[in-house]
Amino acid sequence: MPRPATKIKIKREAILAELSQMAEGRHAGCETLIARFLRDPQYQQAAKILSDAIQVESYRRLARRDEIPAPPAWLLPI
Amino acid sequence: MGCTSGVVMPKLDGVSVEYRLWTEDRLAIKLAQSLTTLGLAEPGAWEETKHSPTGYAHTALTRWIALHGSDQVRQNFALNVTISDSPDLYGGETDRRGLLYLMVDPDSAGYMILGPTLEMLGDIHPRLPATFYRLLVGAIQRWVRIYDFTDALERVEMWREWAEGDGDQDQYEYPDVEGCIPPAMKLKPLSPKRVQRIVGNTRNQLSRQLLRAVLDLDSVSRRLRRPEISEETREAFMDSNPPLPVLLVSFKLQDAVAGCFDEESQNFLEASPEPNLLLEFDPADQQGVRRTFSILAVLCKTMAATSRIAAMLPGNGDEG
Repeated sequence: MPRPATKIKIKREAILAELSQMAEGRHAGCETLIARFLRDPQYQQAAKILSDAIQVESYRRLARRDEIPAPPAWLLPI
Repeated sequence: MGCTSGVVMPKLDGVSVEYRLWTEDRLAIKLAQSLTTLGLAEPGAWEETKHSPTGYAHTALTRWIALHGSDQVRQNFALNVTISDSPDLYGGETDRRGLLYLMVDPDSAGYMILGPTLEMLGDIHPRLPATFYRLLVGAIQRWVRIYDFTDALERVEMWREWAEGDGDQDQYEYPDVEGCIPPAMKLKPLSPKRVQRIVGNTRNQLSRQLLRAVLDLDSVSRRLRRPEISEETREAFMDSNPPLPVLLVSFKLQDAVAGCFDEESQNFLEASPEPNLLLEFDPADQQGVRRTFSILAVLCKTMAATSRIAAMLPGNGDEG
């Protein structure tokens, strides 16, 4: 089992390695959302479903806004 | 049972919920690297700050300040320490030289009333009040701005000049700063060696403690020198006001010095003030980072020693 001082040294080296990756832009956290999207089909499918759903919903709202209310005292259409 | 639509929801398990672009953190990464190599940052903080170089450096700074007496400093002073990529926090541009700036500034000024202490010390030796005052104010002023009777005298002088310009000097009344300065303050201060001899022969315990504490403060504040600022950085403060005072020192509660401070404080923020302490450093230069943190430690220890003295001063808790 490594001694506490060795453990700290190993941890420091790991942090320094991670910081070097960040400085060079190779760290996982540096990955942009677009890069991940282009690679991942599940992401693309999720985006398609959401986009379709939003379009359908906005179409419905628009359609409802175009309805003209019947003038007062008129009978409602059958 | 309804019919299936044919659409299968994708699994999002394991997909990262947070993304971060590090481009603006390049200086923070360099600083985090130096702090890790120098052993100034606690490795455990890396996980706690979720692998954020900025958070990691911030934790290292907070820990460093705590190690050098922040609890004691807080009892009398409201100081902020900032590390920024611009020397001018009030709308300055980011530095193109890749330097970082450590700045120290107050939220408000602390308050010390020295009259009763000077009176007590005057009973031991007539030159002790001026000695104590010079040692105390001199030590603090090495690092931060103090507002004391010299600022008040300058203020009154300025008011007189303005009144002369108006042509009718008699219609104005000025605070009597000169009159509130104890006469013993005009005597020549004793050397620290002489003070040490007096400490050994003094029976009054409080006086002895205060003199020891002020000698200690003097030596702590001299451990390092405030470094020079580059010409380029100095230019950022060409139109700035003087630094905000960290401490107001008066002789009595609400005397003429305190009155001048109240009046002048209304103009402190008319233009952006210079920082009290400004240290510029290259985050990739490990020696520079170590020096910067060492200087900050001296400032913290100086202010902690000042807090200890403030707690001992007779009549200092009367400011209400």
